[in-house]
Amino acid sequence: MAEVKDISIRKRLIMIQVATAFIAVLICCTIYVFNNIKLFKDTSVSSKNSIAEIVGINAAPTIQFLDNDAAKEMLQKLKSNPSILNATIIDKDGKEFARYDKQGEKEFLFPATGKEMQTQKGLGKTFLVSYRIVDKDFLGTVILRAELTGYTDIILSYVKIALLILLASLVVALIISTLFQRTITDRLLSLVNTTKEVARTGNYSSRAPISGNDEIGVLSVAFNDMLDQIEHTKKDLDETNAELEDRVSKRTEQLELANKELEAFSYSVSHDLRAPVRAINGFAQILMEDYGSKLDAEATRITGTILKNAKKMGQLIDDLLAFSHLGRQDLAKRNVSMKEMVVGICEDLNNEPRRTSTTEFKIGELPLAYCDPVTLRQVWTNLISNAVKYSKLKEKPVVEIGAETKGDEIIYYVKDNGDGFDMKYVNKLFGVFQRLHTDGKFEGTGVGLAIVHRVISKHGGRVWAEGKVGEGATFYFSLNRHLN
Amino acid sequence: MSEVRGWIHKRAERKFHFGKKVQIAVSLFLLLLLSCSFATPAQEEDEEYNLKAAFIYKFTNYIEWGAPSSDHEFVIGIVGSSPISKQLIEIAKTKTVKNKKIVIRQFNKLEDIGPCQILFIPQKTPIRLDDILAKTAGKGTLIISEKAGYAKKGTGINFIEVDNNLKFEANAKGISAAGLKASSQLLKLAIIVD
Repeated sequence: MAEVKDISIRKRLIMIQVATAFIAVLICCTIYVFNNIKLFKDTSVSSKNSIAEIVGINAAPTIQFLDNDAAKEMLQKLKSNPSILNATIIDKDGKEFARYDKQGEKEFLFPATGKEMQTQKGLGKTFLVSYRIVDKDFLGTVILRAELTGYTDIILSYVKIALLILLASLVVALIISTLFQRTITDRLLSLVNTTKEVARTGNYSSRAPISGNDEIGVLSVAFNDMLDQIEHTKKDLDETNAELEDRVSKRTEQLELANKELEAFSYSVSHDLRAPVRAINGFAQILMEDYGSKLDAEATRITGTILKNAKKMGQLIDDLLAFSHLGRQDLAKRNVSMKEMVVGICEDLNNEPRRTSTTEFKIGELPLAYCDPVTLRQVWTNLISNAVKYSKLKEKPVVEIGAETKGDEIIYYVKDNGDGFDMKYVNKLFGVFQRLHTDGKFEGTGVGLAIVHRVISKHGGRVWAEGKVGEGATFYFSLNRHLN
Repeated sequence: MSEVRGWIHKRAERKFHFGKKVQIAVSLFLLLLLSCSFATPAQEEDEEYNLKAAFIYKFTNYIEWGAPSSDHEFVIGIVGSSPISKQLIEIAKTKTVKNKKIVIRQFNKLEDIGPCQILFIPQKTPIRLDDILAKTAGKGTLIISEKAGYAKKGTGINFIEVDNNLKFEANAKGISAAGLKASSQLLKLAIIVD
């Protein structure tokens, strides 16, 4: 059976009202039936009492003049009242003077005679009534035994009437409560529907209909007030949001414009610088080759320095161009075997003709990555050659390459046992032209790690480094672990 | 009754010897029988007048005397002597009629008959019925007699015997002619005579 609180208020209201009406009418009907039965009995008894009295008064002279026959004849007249079963007249000495038994009725042994007798109580079908005959002196007693004729029929008819009333009142209660409960439940249901609709659609502009000043009316008003507040707050929020987005998009536009201008500027500068540097380099070479015999030792050294710096500048311009080129390039991502790529790069480095030291490569497990292979090759090359470069002065340079999976990303790392760096400069590592070492010890343009940073950022990953002066450095970058 | 006595007698027989004692017993028994047969009429007479006196007293409940008598006595007169007088005097000692004292008077001669509410004429009346009726006519006197045919002759109520039971005849005309009113309840019990 369903729990009471799960039954709808509509049904519960009807049930309560019908049950109340039922109980009230049931009590009334019960009282009505019992009262009527009692009334019926009382009437029967009192009518028999009157008969007994009449018989007694009429019997008085027959007793006085000892006329049994007259008394019997008189008692015979009781025939006209079929509910009287037996009757007796007892004289003052307690002897039966005359008696009457209804035809077909057994002779009834009347109780102790001559004494004061009370009307028999109880719900029995038959009862006794008596009358003391007194005419100056006590003459005798009349006792009648009568039955409640039609007793069962009358009870049945009363019960039938009571049942009819009960049924009729139930129907009326049902109709009234069905009509009446609408004034409560319909409004409650419309409030519930409005609440559901607001919750489902998120449309805070709808309102619950308001009718009446009762609890439901108050609830509807409060609910509407709440909706007002929510709607107002939401409108404010939406406006603020739109304004913010507008500002962000404007800023982004400005930033992109500025960035493009900057890139175009650096590209054109680099490009335009190439020609003069090449000229310097060319003329310095002509000076060395064609006029080498005419120059003294000092002039040859200076010309050599000019050549070296011109070359370096050329390299610097090339790197810059590559860097700015990266910014404009689109990524062509696919699933790439990092292991193959790293092994290839390491072999290339080992086979380089100008190699001055023998670096040991330790290559661990490197999972596949979804990335642009061209730019990623650049990243690995830069990181591994950096590691080789900064560890080449060690007695046994070791470069360790590996990866680990953490959450949603794969973290690749390149670790060396070279010179390392001071952690307080860690923020400067990935900036363009930022160098922690002098050219005298390690050559470089300071663009390599900037390229790494730019590529990984474009891939949505992160780049960071750990290191200690004289104890080597580790460079990390992360990529999204999900393949395509 | 005789059976009981016979049984007692038989018991006595066993106690006494046969012979003379049988004779004594027989004679005793005869004596007893005799005494019984002598006593019975007297007893019956007593009972009869006892009942008649009671009836007369009870008639007063059912008869209305039209003219209220000025004195405070309710007079029941008896013509000549009758055993009923003894019984009526007994009743008069304790009872009253309509809050009046009951007085019993005996009238031996026609001239003696004075005003009375009830006048009883015994079977052996010393005065002729016609004379009595003539004397009391219209004076509010209820004449009660006890001789067959008297009711027809003009008395108000006449005692008769039917099947060994005491009954009474009533002459409704006679009663109303005397200026009295008999209740219907009484008349119902009476044998009505015209």
